[in-house]
Amino acid sequence: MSGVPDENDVRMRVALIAGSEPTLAEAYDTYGPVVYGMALQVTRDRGAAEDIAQDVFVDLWRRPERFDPHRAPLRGWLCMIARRRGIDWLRRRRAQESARLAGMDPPPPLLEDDLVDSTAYKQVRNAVADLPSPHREAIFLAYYQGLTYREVAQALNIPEGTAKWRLRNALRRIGERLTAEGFADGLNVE
Amino acid sequence: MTDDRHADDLVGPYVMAACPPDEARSVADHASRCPKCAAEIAELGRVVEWIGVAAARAPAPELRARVLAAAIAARPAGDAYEDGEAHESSEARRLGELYHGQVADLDRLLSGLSQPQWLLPSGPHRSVRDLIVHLHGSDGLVAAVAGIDAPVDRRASGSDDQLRWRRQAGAIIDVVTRRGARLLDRPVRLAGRAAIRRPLREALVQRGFETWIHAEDVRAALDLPPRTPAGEQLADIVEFALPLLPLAMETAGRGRPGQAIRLLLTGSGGGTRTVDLSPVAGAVVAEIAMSAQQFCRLLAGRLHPPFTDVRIDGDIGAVDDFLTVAATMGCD
Repeated sequence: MSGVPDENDVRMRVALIAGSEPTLAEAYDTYGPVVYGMALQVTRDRGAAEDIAQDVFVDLWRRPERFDPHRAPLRGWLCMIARRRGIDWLRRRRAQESARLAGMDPPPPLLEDDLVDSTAYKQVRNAVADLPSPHREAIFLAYYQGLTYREVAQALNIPEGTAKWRLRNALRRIGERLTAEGFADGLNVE
Repeated sequence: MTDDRHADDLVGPYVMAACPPDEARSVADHASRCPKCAAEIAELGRVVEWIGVAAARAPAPELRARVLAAAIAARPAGDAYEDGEAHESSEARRLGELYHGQVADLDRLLSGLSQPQWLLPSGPHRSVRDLIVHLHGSDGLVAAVAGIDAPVDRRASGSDDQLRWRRQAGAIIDVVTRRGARLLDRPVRLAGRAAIRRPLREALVQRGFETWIHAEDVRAALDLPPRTPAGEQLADIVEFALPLLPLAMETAGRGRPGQAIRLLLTGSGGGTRTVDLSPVAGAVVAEIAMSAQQFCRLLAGRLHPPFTDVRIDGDIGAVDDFLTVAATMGCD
């Protein structure tokens, strides 16, 4: 819940409702990498990530009034939808390949070269990468694979209490480090 | 976790939507009363958003044209797009016109009523007259915010009630159409049992929705065939109601954190929607296919089981909870 809506989000919403194609292009150009990146991070499948990105923006265009700038910023809202659709896609695929235990599939590696080159994004990625590896694994399984902490515990063969603690502690560590590096309420991207 | 214990380590899984549903519900309940846990949820939630956004990757350049073409195929661009207030005004006019259509329809029906027909039971009300008094009261919430003074008339007959209702509704339509751009975001208490405040644009959709449903109640009392509004209005009603459902599920004690329903609405005003079954976002556990007009009647509490022409797949308990709560989203 963000309280005061972002002025630019409000402007874009009004323009999208009015059917402004340039604003749709602006939304894609601004948030396409965030939506596609999240979908790819979850699915590890470029085709699926492109389909998800397309669905997210087509839905935004068809029903822009569903976005409520009083509840969340547009970037976070689109990113959340992309993540949820990615996890849906993963679960459908897992149901089709039910023989294997969900979290244990080794994901194909993603190339680093198309990551968006921004100092702020790099700071966040470094903060995640520098976590102790047990913390990083727990974050990966819960956030990108959509597992509950109980499933994380099972996948990593650790007690459930430890899985919960790792997730909370990992987020705290990242938050403290980024705050120390000057992050405030927003993620300022150059 | 019980209500009097802090969420502690569950906060991490909670903000990542990685709690089993019952625990997510406990955390949400507790945080609604505990500023300390609410603050930690907000803080760690922000970290989760940073992590998500930092995964940004440049998509293949050709995806841009594909996405834009698919979007324009789904909904053509506006013909005469102008920026800013002009478009809020056009949205206000659009909402005003849709509401006006429903008001005019009900007004026509009422104008043809005989005195005995005004006393027929109608919908959940003892008489058509009571129904119109109720509708006038619900409209009054919007009238007050739009700066319209409710006329204080002494009630004498059904036709007086009709006049009083129509005057107020007409004044709402007039003000919204003339000054809508400055009014649409103003918060209004929605009509209904739960005291929810939403922007006036949504309250106008609700007014049109309730006016249509009460016209249907009157038609049913007169044995007239039902009438379904245009797809545009049905789509507005669906988009108005769906975002309210996650909290309504939670409030009704039927919240299912981490679960969602896929709703395939067919026919005019239809489309596919994913609806979270609690304020905690979830994965799809069931699918319901029905027509958009059926769904709107369900929302109004005017469609009762057994449902015909409804296809249901997946978790039946989740579907039952969803349909039960959805049927409470309309007004009396």
